[in-house]
Amino acid sequence: MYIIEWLQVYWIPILSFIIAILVALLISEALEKAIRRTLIKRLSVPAVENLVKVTRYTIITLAIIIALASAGVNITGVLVAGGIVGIVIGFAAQTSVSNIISGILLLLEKPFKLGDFIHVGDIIGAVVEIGILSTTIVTWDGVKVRIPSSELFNSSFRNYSASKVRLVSVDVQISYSDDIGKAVNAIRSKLREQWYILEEPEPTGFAKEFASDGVTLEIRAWTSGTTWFMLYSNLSRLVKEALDEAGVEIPFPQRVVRFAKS
Amino acid sequence: MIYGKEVRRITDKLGEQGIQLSLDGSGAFTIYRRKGGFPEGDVEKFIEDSGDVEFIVYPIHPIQVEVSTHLMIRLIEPLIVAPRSNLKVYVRAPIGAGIYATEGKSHKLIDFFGPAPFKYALYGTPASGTVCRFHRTEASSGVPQPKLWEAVTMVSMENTSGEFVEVRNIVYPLLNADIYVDGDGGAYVEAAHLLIENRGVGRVTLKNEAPLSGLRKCPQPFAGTLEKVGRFLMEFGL
Repeated sequence: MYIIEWLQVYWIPILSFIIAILVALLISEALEKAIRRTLIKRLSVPAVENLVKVTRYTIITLAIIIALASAGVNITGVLVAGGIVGIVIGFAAQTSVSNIISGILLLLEKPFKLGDFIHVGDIIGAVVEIGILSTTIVTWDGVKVRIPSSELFNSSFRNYSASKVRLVSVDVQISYSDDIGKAVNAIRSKLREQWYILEEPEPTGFAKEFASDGVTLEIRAWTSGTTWFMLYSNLSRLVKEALDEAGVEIPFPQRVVRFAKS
Repeated sequence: MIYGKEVRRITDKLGEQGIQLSLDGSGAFTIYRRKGGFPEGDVEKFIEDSGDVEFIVYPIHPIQVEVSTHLMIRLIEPLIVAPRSNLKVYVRAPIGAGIYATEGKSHKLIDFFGPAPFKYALYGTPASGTVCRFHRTEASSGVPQPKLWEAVTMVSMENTSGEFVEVRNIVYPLLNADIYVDGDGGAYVEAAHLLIENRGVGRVTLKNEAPLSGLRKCPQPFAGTLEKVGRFLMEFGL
């Protein structure tokens, strides 16, 4: 009975509150569509989606304030209380605020995009979601990792996909009795047969160090950013095959021992 | 030459190159098989065929789109272009074989290949260059005969600078550049214009026209899905 009486008194403010919220939702939906349609070709998908979210929550918040005011609620008190609560929450949620600001700055800076392989700290993986608060990447072994935006913004990270070309190098030793030129030429010929190794800059090799067991050669080859892992995972095998075919020995660790004359 | 012809008519020619193609009927399907050629690996595909499907080999740009959409033509003998002059040369571009299943006006690329690995090179610097399909060729003032794995294209050069300019490289924006065939099955690639601004900078623009008259345009596998670029700024030297 009490509820019915209450509704009889306040049905107009309640109705106007509901109408205000519904109108806000309609406006929000129309604006979201307009934002997507206008900006999808100019900004990245994550930036657009985050902008849409911000727009939606702003409109709904404003609508609630307006609806409360139109329903006759004294919103001055609400706003003052909200302000005080905001300050308290602000102090308590400094990290979240930092994440939000970092997230916005990352979206503006665009140091990576969806699908890029990035290396942050000791985590390497593909970016699958870019949010304002955090970015989610999936590592090589399929684990989903959430990285807070402030951590990404304040640390240095590598974006492997941003490079159009990548250099991969490997060290190999040959024995002192083998011909360095012959070994390097054999390796270069082998590498040039592979489609994913760039013709220019061409693969190179040079003697880098006189090590205890042999001469260390450094072999370098360039590949496109998309075929980097193919080169990385095959380079050592190709070098070994080239040396085997050329009859060049990869020396085992060895020591020359001299016995004192008795 | 093989292009624009039915697959069954060119299997012997490709067999000489170490590439075996076959088409076998199996109920409602035709089974396409390839052994040899690049990309490596045996290919086997089942194509629904009510009897109206034709299998035609058309020339195709021999690129892996995920690696590059450009072609860098390296002239074996560089050309020296005189100040404020125009020059028309013919060069060869690499071409691959695309096997299409066609029915009426509908085409579907089912396989593509070349005789050897596609090689790529970097035009420009590692920081901001472009990975390009790489091909060495000679330039000639007369129209050369197309070869099995080399199409012919024409490049008109316009030197707007007041100095002699040496041209060693021409970078083609290859994605959806038109390809043509002649009556003998030879392949041709859309003509291009190279505007030379100075010793180190040139602008390549595809001309949207065949290098010769009387050629027939071929289907393009990425038409409608990837946009034709048609222009390239050669800012790292010619």
